[in-house]
Amino acid sequence: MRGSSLLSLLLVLSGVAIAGDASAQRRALARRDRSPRTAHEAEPGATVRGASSNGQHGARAGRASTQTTRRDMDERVVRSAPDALRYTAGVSVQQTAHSQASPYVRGVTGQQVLLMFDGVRLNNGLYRQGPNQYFFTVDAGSVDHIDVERGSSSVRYGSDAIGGVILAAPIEPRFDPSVRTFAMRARAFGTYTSADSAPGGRAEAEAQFGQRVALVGGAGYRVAGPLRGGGGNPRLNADGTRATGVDRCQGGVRSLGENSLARTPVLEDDCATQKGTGFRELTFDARLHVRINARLQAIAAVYGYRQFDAPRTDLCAPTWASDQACMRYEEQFRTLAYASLRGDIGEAIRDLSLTVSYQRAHERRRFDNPTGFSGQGWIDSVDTLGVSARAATPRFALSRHGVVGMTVRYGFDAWRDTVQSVEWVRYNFSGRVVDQPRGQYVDGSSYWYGGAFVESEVAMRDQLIVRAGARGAFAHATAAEQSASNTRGINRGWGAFVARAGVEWKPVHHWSLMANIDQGFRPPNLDDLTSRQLTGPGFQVENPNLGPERSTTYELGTRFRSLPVDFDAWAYATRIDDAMIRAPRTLAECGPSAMLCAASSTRLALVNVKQPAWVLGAEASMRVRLLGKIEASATVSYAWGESVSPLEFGAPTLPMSRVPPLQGTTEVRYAVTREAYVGAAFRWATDQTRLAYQDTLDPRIPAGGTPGYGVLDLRAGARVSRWLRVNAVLENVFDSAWRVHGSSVNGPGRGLMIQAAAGW
Amino acid sequence: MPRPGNDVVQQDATQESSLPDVAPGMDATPDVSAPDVATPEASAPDATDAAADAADAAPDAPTPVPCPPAASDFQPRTAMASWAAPWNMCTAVTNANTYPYFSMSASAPVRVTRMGALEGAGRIFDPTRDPTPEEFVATSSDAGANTSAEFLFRDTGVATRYQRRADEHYAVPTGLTLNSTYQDFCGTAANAMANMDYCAGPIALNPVYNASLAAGMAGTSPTRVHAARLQASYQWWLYISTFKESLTCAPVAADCDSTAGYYAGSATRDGAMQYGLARDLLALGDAGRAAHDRIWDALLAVRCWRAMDGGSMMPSTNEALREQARLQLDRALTRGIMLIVQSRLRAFASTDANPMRALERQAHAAWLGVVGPLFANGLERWSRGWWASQRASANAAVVARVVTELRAGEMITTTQAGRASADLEALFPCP
Repeated sequence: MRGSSLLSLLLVLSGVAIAGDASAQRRALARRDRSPRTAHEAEPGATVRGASSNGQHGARAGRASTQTTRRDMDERVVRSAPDALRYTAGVSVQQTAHSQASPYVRGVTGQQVLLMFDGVRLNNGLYRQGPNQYFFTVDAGSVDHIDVERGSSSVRYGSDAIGGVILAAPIEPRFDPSVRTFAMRARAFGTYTSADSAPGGRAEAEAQFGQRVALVGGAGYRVAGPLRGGGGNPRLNADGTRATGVDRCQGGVRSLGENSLARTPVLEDDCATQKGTGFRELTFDARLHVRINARLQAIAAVYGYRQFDAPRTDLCAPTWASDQACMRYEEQFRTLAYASLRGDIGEAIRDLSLTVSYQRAHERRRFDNPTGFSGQGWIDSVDTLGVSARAATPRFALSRHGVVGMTVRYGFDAWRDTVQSVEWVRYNFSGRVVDQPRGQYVDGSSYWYGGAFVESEVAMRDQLIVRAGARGAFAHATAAEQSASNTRGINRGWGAFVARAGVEWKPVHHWSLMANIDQGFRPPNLDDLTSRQLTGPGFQVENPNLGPERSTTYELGTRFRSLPVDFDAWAYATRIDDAMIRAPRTLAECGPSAMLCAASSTRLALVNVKQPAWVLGAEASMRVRLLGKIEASATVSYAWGESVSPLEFGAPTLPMSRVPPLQGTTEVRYAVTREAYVGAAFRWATDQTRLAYQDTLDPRIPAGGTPGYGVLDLRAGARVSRWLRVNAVLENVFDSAWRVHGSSVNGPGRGLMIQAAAGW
Repeated sequence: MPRPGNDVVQQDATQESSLPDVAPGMDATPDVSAPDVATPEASAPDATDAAADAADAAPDAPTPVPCPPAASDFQPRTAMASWAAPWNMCTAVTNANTYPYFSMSASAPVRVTRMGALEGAGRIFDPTRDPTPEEFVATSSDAGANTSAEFLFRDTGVATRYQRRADEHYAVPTGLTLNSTYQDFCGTAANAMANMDYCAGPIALNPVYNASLAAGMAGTSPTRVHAARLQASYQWWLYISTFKESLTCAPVAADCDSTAGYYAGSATRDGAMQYGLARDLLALGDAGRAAHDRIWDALLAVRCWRAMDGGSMMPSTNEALREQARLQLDRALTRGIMLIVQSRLRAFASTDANPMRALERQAHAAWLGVVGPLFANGLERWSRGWWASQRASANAAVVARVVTELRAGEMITTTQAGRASADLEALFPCP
């Protein structure tokens, strides 16, 4: 750890400048460095992309969307890409492990939220039901901003966009018009967060070759130690000694129903440090831009994420085994490479983005059980090849004087996943390793999916805007039959048609009223179709007849934008039809010699249910700017989910699992000078007692529900020299015990978070 | 008005003295042609002693004891109109032969799955043959890899649960509160070491599991001995798990389903899909059948209690009703496990005079070497009130003797086995 701290310090202090060829170019870069690095750092109120955060500006007009900017991430000193979304309306960031996080958007997550990075899908055919960790594999240090579009959005983005879409946009190299031959500069930043004793850093270099070629590349490393939660302390006996046994702790995250400590995580003797936390991560990226002409660029990029030795907190130790057992991700890797053509081609093709991509997601997991007879291991990898194209027409007039104008967007995308999956057992007493007949998935299975869309926008005097669109989509799954594990082959495809419509009316200049109907869909993926295993409810067998689940979001919104005040408010109802849930199956459906299945008294398969599930909710966000120095923003969100009950008795419907409670945020920032600020942030959530039946069995959720919380952070930052900027956060000032609903990790306790960025 | 399915008459439960002489899971006629290659001297007693022991081990058939249920017991096989309070308020049970799960998609059926899968691997528990190492632990991914005992213990989650299972017959450790974290206690190594009787899973059962599988995988002859120890640990684990779930059902209702799951692996009183202790008891003739029926009644009592006390979503608060149901279950279950132990004692004794069955005898002894001391410790130290009263009222000499006999474990003699069988019958004549 000491070595890691030293490394971090060196990264902070030794951002090495690599000189350019001429002093003029150096001066030009230096001037640029002092200027806002990206557009969002321009003066408040500027109407460029990313000019502000917290719900005022998003990627898409007329939709409920939020942008989290680089400045937001820097000043919050975020630990990860999902962590950057904690102040986003309509989003709740669940964590099953310190090294994992899954954003809930409008009450759903996992397969039902689409993740994209620079226009490339991150979702693949192995995304599973419930929370997943994959957005954590986006390096926050390489991201310029993150947009969250709430509500079903499959017309533009394709499958999985049931609850919404998260779009991460990377840092791009910039073309400085004053550079004639070559210029290069370097940046480095280091971070340290005390609650998890995590030093980290990123070094970045940017080069420009004349006016046609520019590139940026970086690499980062972080070592996160055990995470200390808030509010827990050892209980002292009357004689001042520490209590022992089951009642050794006081405070901490406690169940609403019993006032007992939550079952997970297991706490160390200090009653605050959480077992099953801590990990290492390495990131790297490189991005090359080549200007073809003033309006068209070719881009080649690669982004890599490598996570090592990351325990899954709720399984380290699991509640169902010895406290010495542990499931950990030895490797959680993701590599994304793509080439893209972006810009305008002539006058007819605008905003073109033509991308060919390759992505590999890889997991190597290990379950150690030293007091048992054996441990297990798994490797699951998926390679995804993709191609996507999207573009728009210029605005063309539909009326004689251009009062009515129309723009059309269109595109297509196609993706293919190929899966490798193995499993083995390692015997403790001999060290012998034995391969199992199959892995979690069928080795060699594949998944094709994609579609084509068209959207139009008709604007009348910019007062009334009508939007509509449609997509045709397909998916095809192939998995070989495997006799050794009695796995049935799959060779099926699905088609779907989804549409959207919306209207935006601006009765006055700054104020809009919006109404949208937008559809989402999700065909069954390889995880649904082939991950044959004992699950919580029973033994799950394949169902080759599964069909897509669909959603329709109905939403009403209002938006007021002015220089001093931005305000957004949305109310929505999302109906999910043909939702995939598990249902009982008969003995005959096990097939021959499927011992575990045949022996089970409960056999299950995913089925599409006819009764719809509903998520209802509302979100509001506001940002106020005063005197050019003060910014204050706030969000509030609520979601209510109800679906068919899995119980054979009682109410026909029950709450959906892990839907977040009423929650909100407040941030205040005061610019002391142009280069220095102070601020504060407050996050809160109410108790969540609306539990699905499975939630009552989930050790991640304290008995009776998850308690509410309030967490206050204090922030400050300044450019302390021409080359050095520092951001600092005193997080969780009151050392509150807190946990996001559904998480198995308690939020960090009081601690210091510091980021120092140096640039030349 | 009779309730649907109440076709089992009450009288069945009062005739419970037909004593089987075959251990559950075994054929009545052992395969004597199976070659026993090990030398009988290793475990068989001296021939003269054996003859004497055999003579002593043939106790007279005990006189049947009438065993009417206690007035406070839930008696679902009687007409609903005759149900005594508070059971007459139970609407959750509508069929005396069916256990209504709180949820088909809850965790309880997982327990059922574990049970059924393990019973599928039960061929290794046949004491008349030596299982191959591959039947213990498959060492290749060829066919059979998913039917080995180790695979089934592991993939059904039983192996890890050995590491945390508590025996709720013992006094609860100080400070341990009955809430959702209650059952995590014995998973902590320090807690287990400080409460060795209570934490029977990690202390007594898990080492047996590890050692038996390792020896079986290594092919250490005779492998049936290791299989017998594995089976013994499994059956005792089912016994204490069934009872444990009836307690942790108080904070988590789904554990009530697990009570039925661990006992029978089934939601029905009868039928082909009976596993675990239920299957073992049903193989023991009338006495086993009667014990099974009383256990099943008690499972429904637990189900009724929980339905009337909080339901599926709220924690239980009626401790008196809970303990009333659990007392019924505890008595019935203990009678059941006693019958299983007794049958094993008899099977052990029955092999005494036949050198061709020396290895089978070793297997029975190995089984008794695991369960015997556990049962003996319980007879001495279980803290449950009903047993403490019964222990106090019983002939102290009988209790002491049976404790000594069971504690002999693998070294038990035929004479001791016979006496222990009779003594156990005297101590637990009724469910």
